[in-house]
Amino acid sequence: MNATSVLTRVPTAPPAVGTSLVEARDLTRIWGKGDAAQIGITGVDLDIRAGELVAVIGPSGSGKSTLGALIAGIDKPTSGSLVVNGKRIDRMKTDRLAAWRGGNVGIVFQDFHLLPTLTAVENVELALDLGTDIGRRQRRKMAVAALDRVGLAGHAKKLPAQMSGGEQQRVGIARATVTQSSLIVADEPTGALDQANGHAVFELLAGLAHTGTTVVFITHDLNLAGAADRVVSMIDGRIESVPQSGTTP
Amino acid sequence: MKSMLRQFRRAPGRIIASIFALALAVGAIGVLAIPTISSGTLLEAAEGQGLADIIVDTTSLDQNQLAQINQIDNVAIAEGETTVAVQLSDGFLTRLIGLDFDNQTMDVVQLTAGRLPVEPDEVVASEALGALGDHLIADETSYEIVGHGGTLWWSDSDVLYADIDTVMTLDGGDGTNRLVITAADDSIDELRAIADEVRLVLDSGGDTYTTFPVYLPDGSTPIDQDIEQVSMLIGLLGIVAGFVALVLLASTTNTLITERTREVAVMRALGGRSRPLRRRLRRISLGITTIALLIGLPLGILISNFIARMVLEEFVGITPDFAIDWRVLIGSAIGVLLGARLVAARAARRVTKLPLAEALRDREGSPFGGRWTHRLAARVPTGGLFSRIAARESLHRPARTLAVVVQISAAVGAAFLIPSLANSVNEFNTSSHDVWAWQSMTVASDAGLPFADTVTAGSDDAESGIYVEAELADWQINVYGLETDTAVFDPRLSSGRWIEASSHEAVLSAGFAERNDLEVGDALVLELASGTFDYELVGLSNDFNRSAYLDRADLAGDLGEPGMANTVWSFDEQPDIVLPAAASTSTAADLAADDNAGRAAIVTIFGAIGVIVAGVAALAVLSSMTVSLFERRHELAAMQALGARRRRLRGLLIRELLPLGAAGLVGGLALGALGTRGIIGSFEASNAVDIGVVDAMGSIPFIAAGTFVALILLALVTVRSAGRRPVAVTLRGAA
Repeated sequence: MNATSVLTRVPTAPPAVGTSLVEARDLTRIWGKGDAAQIGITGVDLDIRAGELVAVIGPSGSGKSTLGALIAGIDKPTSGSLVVNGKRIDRMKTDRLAAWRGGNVGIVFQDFHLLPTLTAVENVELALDLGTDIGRRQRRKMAVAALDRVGLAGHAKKLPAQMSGGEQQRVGIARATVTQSSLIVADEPTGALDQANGHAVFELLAGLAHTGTTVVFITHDLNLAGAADRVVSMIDGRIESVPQSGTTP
Repeated sequence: MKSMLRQFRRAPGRIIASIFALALAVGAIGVLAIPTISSGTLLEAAEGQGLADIIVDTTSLDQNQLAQINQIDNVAIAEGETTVAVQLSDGFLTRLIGLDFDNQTMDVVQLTAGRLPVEPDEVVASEALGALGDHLIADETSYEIVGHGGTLWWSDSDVLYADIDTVMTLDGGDGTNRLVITAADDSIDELRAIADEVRLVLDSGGDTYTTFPVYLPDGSTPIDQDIEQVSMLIGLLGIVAGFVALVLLASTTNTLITERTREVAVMRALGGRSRPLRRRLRRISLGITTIALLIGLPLGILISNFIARMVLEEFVGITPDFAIDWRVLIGSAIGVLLGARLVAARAARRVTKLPLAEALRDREGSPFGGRWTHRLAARVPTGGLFSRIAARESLHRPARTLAVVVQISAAVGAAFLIPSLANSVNEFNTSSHDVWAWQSMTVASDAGLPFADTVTAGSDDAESGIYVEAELADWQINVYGLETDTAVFDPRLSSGRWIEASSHEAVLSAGFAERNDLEVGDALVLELASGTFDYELVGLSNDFNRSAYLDRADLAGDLGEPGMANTVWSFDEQPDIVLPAAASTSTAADLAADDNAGRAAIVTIFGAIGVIVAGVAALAVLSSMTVSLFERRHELAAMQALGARRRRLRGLLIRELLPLGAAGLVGGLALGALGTRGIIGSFEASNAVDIGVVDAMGSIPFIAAGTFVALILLALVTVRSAGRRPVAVTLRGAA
C-alpha cells in the first residue's frame, strides 16, 4: 500500500505543478495599536507555484518570518487575503485552521520544537496522529520510513535531549514531511546548525521540491538562497523584489 | 525593586496568583493565634474579675464558718455569695446572684453600662434581660435594671446581680450558700486539700457541700478545656494550611528561578560570578514572599480575631478585644521568609551549577532524558502518544508532580475531615441520648436535693432521681441516682449486670472504665460533694458518656439527704407533677436542638477553616498547574502548529491531571480519615469517653466529583487562554 493512499484526512488534493499554491494579496500583519503598533509585514502580494522552492531572505526584522508564519497558518493576518491550496486560511477559526495545518502544511522550525518527552519516532508519529486518521501501526511504519529518509533510522528511540542539533533538525524535517503535505514552510531551519549540517538540511528540503512539494525556505544564508527556484527579498515588512526563478537578488 | 518589576511585567498573572495564594496561606497560618487570643481574653477577664480557684455550693454558711475557712492553710481569701433561682414574669427561669459589691474581691461584676446596685430593688443584668431603667418582675418582686454587665463565671447565662443582703433575704436570710476561695498555691493538689479541710469545717457545723467543688487550678478558667480542644483542632488545620503554603512557596520559587536558567547562563557566559547571580535570583522569590506577607499577615490577624470571636461568643458568651499574637505573627513571617530563602537558595544553586553549554542550549535547565528513569520511561509505551506525553511529563518534574498531589490531598483531606467530624459528633450525640428513654427532664434550680423522691409516687410516666457531679479516678463525672427498676434508662451493658437496691453498686460508662483500667468487680472510690464513698463496679454501659449509675437511695444517703431527690424524668414532654422547689424542665427535643445548635456552631467554625485550607490548596494547585503549563507553552504551541485542535490539548491536560487528581483524592481521603481519627482520638483521650469515628462516606462521591470537575475546568480554562495567543507569537517567544 502506498503511504499516500492511507492519508484519509487530507482536505485538498495537491495542485498540479506550476499552478498557484499560495496567493497573498495586500497581506498585512500588525501587532498592537497606536504608538505601540509594531508592523510585521504590510501590503504583501505574493504568488507561489506548486512545486516551487522559494527562498525568503532579508535582514532581521524585515518580516520574512512573519510571512512564513502566515503562509504556514500559525498566525493570522491583520488584513489582506491569503489563499493556500485553494483555501482562504485568513478567515479560518482557530480549530479549523489547526486541522488545516495538520493535513496541508509541514513546518520546520529554527528551534526544532520537538516534544522533549517523545522519542524521535514518536515526534514524527505525532504529526500523523494530529494531521491524519491513520491507524497506530501504519503511523509507526510511516514515521520510521520518514526517519530513514533523513538518515536517522538508527536514532528512532532517542529522546531529543540525546541528539545533536543537526539530528534534531532532521527529525523536524521528517516530522514536517511525513504527512506528505503539499507545502513545507521552513523558518531558518539551518540557523542553529553548522555549515555541513545546514547544507544537509537544505539538500533534504530541495529534494522535496524536486518531488513536487512546494517549499518556502526562510534564510539568512544567501548561498543557500541562491540554490532556490526563486528568491523573495524582504525589507521593512515589504517585498523588495521577486526575481525570476533561478536568479539571486 | 527594578528586577521585581521586570519579573512582574514578564508574567503578571502568574505573579499575582502566586502572591495571592501565598498570602491566603500565610493568612490561614494565622489561625494558630486563636488559642492565644482566646486564652488572653479569658485570663484578662479572670484577672479583672478575681476568678476564684474553688467554687462550690453549700448549705447555708454563717460568718463564723466563713472566718474558720479563712484560717485554713493556703486559703488566701474565702468569700460567701448567695444565689437563688427566680422566675421572671415571662416565665424565664434565671438566677439572682447576691454579691457584696463593696467588699468582695472575687466575681467582681464588670459593668458595660450603668452602675452597681445600691438599693435592695436594684439589679445589674445582662443586656438580653432588658434596658437600663427597665423593671423586671422576679418571683413577684420588682427590680430596676441599673447596670449592664456580668462576671466570667456566669458569662454564658443571662442572670441578675443584686446586693447580697437582698438575696439572702430571699434565701431565708440565715447565711450565704455559695463559697468562693482563692488559694495562695493554686495547684490542683493544694486545692483538693483545701476543699477537704473546708468540708470538715462545714461538717462540724452540720453543713455540707451541695455540689461537687469546681477547681480552677494554675490560673485556669472554666472553659479552658473546651478552648484547648477547639484550639487543638484549629491548630491542626493551621498546620495543614502552613504545610500547603510551604509547598506552594517551594513550587513558585522553583519555577521563578528555573525559568531564568538561560538568562543566568548568558550572564555566566559573560563573566557573571555565581554568588552574585544566586543572590539576585533569591531576591526575586524573597520579594514575592515579602509582598505576600504584607497581605497575608494582616489577613491572618483578621481571620484569627474573627474566629476567636466566634468561638468565645459561642462557648463563653464574651466578646474578646481585637488582639494580635506576635509570636504567631513573627513566627509565620520568619518561617515563610526562611522557607523562601532555603528553597530559593537550592533552586538558585541548581541553576548556577548547571553546565554552561547545557544551560545555554536548553531553556528549562532539566531536559527530559537526562536521567535513567526518563530513558526507561521513553522505552515503555503507555497508551497513545498523548498518554505517553502525560505520563512522562509527570515523571519529568517529580517534585512538582508530588507538590500537586500533596496540594490536592490537602484540599481533599480538609473537605473530608469536616463532614467526618460533623458525622462523628452527630453520631456521638445520638448515641449518648439513645440510652435515655425520657421525653422531659426536670431539674431543681437550686443546689442540693430539695424534694422527696416520693414526689413521683403513683405516677406511671415519671421517675424521680438524682443528678450530681462527682470525681472518680481524677475525672469529674456525671452521677445518676436511679430506681433500680428504672424505665427511663437503658444501660446497654457491655459486661456485668445492672445495680441492685441498697448494695452500693455502680454501673460505669464502658469507655471511661476502659481508659481508667477499671473492670467489673473493682472497687470504686467516688468523691461526692459530701465526701468519699465506696461502690462496687458491677457493670459497664455503652452509653458514650462519662457517667456512673447508682441506686437512688444509696446516693441520696451518701449525699446526706436520704429519701430526697433533685430530678424528675418523665415520658411526657409536659409532666403533670408539682415540685416543691424551683425547677426547670428540658425536653429531649430541647436538648437535641441545643446539641444541634452547638454542633452547627462548631461545624461552622471548622467548616470556615476547612474552606480556607481547601481554598489555599486549590489555589496552590491552580498556581502550580499554571506555572507548569506556562513553562510548556512552547511545547503546546508546537503541537498546535502540527495541527492539534484545542480538544486534543484539553485531552492532554486532562490525561495529565486526572491521575494526579486520583492520587490526591486517595491521599486526601486517607489524610482526612487519619485526621478525623487523630482528632476524635484526642477528644476521647482528653475526655475519657467513647466518641467513635463515623467517616462521611456519603461525601466521597461529591468530593471526588468536585476534585475532577475542578481539574477539568482548570484544563479548559488553561487551553482557552493558551488558544488566544497566535501560535507563531508563542513560538517566536521561545527563540
